[in-house]
Amino acid sequence: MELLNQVKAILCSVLQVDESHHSLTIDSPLLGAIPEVDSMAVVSIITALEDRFGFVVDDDEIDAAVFETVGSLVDFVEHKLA
Amino acid sequence: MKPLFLPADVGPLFALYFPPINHSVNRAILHVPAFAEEMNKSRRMIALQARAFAEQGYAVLILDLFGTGDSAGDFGDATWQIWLQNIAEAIAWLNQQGAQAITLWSLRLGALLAMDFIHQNPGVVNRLLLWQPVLNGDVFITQFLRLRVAAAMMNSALPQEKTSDLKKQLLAGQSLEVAGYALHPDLVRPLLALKADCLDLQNIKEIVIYELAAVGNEGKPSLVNQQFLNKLHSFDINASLTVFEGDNFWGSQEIVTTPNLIELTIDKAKQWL
Repeated sequence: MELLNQVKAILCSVLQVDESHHSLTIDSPLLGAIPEVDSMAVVSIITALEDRFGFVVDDDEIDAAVFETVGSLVDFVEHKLA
Repeated sequence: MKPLFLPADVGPLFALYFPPINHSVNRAILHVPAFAEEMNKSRRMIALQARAFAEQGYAVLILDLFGTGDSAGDFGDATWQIWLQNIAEAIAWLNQQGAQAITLWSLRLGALLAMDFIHQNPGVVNRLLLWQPVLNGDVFITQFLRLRVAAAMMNSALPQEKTSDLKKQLLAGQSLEVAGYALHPDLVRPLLALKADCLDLQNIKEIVIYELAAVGNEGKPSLVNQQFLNKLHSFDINASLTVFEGDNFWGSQEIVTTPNLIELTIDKAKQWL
């Protein structure tokens, strides 16, 4: 849950959506569902995750499946931290 | 505020000049801009800060580098060397107006351009003000190239590439288009090898760094900036690092400003008098 909140905070900050108004849940779709999630936003999210958690994302990990939902992104971060 | 064209070797460069208010031209600040879209996004914030500096008696020049904004040339023809030359030309113009003490004020990648300029032109610059500095050219280029990788991720009709392959193409002397910007190999190649180097900064009177508070970092600076600051101090360089709260005005979807940063920066500039 803690990780979910951290990822949500980063998403809200990059996408400039107000956390209280925009109730992102673990099932919220991202890519193709939120218009703000374009290639620029994807790169900003990756960079913010790297800065926050201190891991490095490899090119072949930049995959549409990772950005499908909030949950898939949290799973990815979990995997990177493992 | 006066829009003008500076004469330069490569053609006229567009600039905005903010003459000092109620003060003679003595102390001048040259803005060294961010890269590509980050420069466009930050225009408003940079103009607001420039006006605030002018009210404090500074002459301020905001320059569009060759191939950017309203200056001569195409982005795809811009090289790192041309941009270094543009900085020299802008400082020469400020000197002609009567400026004696020059501060370089950079945003993002402008930090590396400013520091490389100082490396190649020792003794010209007095102070260095770094807003959210990029300190490692390789890391920055990798992040920029990811825009192309991410665009391909979202469109399976595009070739699926890796940033390492894209870097190899640039190093081999090929131009590359990323997010609508044609990258000249001679813009990227020097940058890939560039890192902030304290040795070059020993003659700078003061270095002031501002960093945007990161999500979940509780107002602490990033490790990279903290290490850079420690290194500057170990060289006995007068340097400070301040974390500010607000929006990421160089990278946000909408044009936003961060008034808080202007206040902090002006408070600092008042101590320079």
